[in-house]
Order: sequence, then C-alpha cells, then structure tokens
Amino acid sequence: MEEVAVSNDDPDYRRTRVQFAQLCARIAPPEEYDERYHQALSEYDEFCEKPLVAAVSIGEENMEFVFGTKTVYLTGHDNVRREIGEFMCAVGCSGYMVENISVAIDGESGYAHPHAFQGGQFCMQRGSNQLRVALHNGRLAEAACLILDALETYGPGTPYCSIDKWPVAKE
Amino acid sequence: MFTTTAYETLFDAKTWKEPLHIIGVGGIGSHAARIAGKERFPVIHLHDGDVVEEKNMYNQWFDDDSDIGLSKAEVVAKKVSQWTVAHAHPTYVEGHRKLSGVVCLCTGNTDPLPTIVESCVWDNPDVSLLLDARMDAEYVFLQVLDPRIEAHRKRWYRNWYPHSETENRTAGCGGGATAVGITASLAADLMVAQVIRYAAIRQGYKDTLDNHIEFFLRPLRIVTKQW
Repeated sequence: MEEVAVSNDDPDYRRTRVQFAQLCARIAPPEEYDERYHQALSEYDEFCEKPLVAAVSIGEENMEFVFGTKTVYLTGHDNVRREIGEFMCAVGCSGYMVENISVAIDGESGYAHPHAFQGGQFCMQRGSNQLRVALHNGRLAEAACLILDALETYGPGTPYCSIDKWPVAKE
Repeated sequence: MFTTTAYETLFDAKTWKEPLHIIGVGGIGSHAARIAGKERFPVIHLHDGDVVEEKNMYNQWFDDDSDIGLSKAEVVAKKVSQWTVAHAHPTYVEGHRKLSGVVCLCTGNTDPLPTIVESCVWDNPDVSLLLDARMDAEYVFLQVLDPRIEAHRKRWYRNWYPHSETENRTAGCGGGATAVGITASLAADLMVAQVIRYAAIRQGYKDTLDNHIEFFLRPLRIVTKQW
C-alpha cells in the first residue's frame, strides 16, 4: 500500500482526499454523485482524525479505500489488556476485508481478531446491515468507522477465537 | 413542512380497503402487525413458516410461554384479531403467492427477497406499495417503493445483499444481539407510519413519501431520501 500521511498539510493527503471522494461518488447512485462527492470530502477529514487511524490510501485501481490502524488493544473477561495488533483494512463496492499485519494467531489462515479470520470479514457485533447499506451507497467513511468500532469490540460470550491467545500488552 | 393536522384525519380506516401483507412475522413483522391492527387496517395477512422460540420473547411480540412451538403467523393473527381481520399463512413465501395492496417485507433474512419481489410483486398490478425493513441493534433501514416504477426497483436491487454478508460467518461466533426489542418496535412504527402516509395521500392528503429512510439510534439521527 502506498501510505499517505494523515495530515491535511500534505499534498498527498489532499490528493487521496479527492480520490476518496471520487470513489465514494462512483459507488453511490448516479443521481447522487455530486452530493456524495462533497459529503465524502468532509467525511474523509473526520475519518483521518480518528485516533486509531495510522494511514490511508486508495487501492486496487482506485476501487477501494485502504486504511491502516495503530495497535488495537482489547480487554477480556479476565481484565487483562491484550495486544490484538495493527490492522490493514479495505472497504469498497465489493465488500470489505480486515488483516492483522502484526499479530496473526494460528498462521496466515488463522485469526486476525477474536471476531475475524485473517484476510476475511467480521462477525460484526453490531451494525452489519448498516455496514452493507453504507458500502452499497458509497459511504465508505461510515463503513470504515464501523470496522474501527468492530476492531475495538470484544464479545466474550462466543468469539471465533478466545482473546486469551493474543499476547498480554507490554505497557 | 410542519403540520398540525390531527393524526386521525390522515388515515380513515373505514374507507381504506387495501389489504396489508406482512411477510415475516418476527422482530419487525410481529410489531408491525400489532401496530397496524390497532390502527384498524381492515385486513392484515401474516406470512411466516417459522415457529415461536423462547429467544423470540425478547424482541418479538410474543409474551406467553405457551406460544412456544406454535406458528408465528397463527399466534400473531389470533392476537391481532381482537382489533381487525387477520389471516395467518403459516408457510414461507418461496414462489408465487397472490398478494395485493401493501406488501411489507420483514423477513430478517434477505436471501428470499429477490424471489418474493420477482414472483409476487414486480409484475403484479394489484400491489401498490412495497416496504422493506431491515435492522441492527441500533439501526433501521426502511425502503418505500412504488413497485411499478423501474427506478424504484433498480434502487431496491442496489440495496439488496445476501444474508451471508450480515450473518455470523461461523457457528459459535455470536457477538452481541442484532435484534433488540426497542429497535424492532421502532422499525415497525416507522414502517406502519409510512403506510399511513401512503393511505393519506391516496385519500387526498398532500404529502410525498420518503423512499429511503435510515434511522440511527447512536448518535441519534435520521436520513431520508426521495427517489
């Protein structure tokens, strides 16, 4: 991924911002192109200000929005804080994907997160319909925010993989 | 536009003749039947092949353990019958079924929806309005279509996605509750309110239906679009 600094002083930031708005507008219904484009510009700014966001770019021939995260930490039922990892995520008209790029459990085909397979999708704790409607209507920042929310959520009842498998946070 | 029109003048149940078909009598559908029944919609048809389970007590309009194991459509039809005429159709809509009037899709599972609209709605001149409601724990998505308008049908397909994209990927990863009683009831209220708006328009009231309605509970906001 061509990483872009998350700073609106950077020319790369402004270029990616426009590309992002164009992508959102292309996915939206044609009659909503202009409205979606302009809304997406401000949504991009808001998204890049999220504390968890580390990098953003437009990938796969400008058809998906790719974002990287800082380290995600989660606390399980044992009150132990664990390092889940840094994530690379992509959202676009065809769906979304999450990949843990720093701590993979059970290898490349294992778990990215207690509620996600590596390179796959979430068992969403909430918002699965909202996520799909957002994706189908070019609201990629909203979809990305739902994924950030899911990354920072742990449902101890029935995860794919228990949080106990992730390392205890060092700090 | 703000209005001070009395609510009861918007919808005259005595002169409204179109039946209301509710497909899926679960979280949204059971509450929609309750609300429409209390509003005295003249005839309500309830379609669902599912039976009541203990877990349904939490977010659906079933409150008696003795209902467990019985047909959802039959149980709700019996309850609604105290207010209006209700017919139970205790099987899933899996192909052509004679529908007319207003059709409300409340299935939860989106997989059967294309078959339902293609075999029962699109080419059926007797169906005048189609509503499709979906929900998460804190989110409601409602579409209100004139099924005879091609642009509305295209928009509906744009917003359709298979159930596999929203359900749990693997058995055992349950996560949080996806259907909450408050949200289900809210979705049903929104849905029936749009049917009442439609009925009021048909009876001469000046209004324009919103076709795309999204209700977010946190943070609280509502988005509407007219197609």
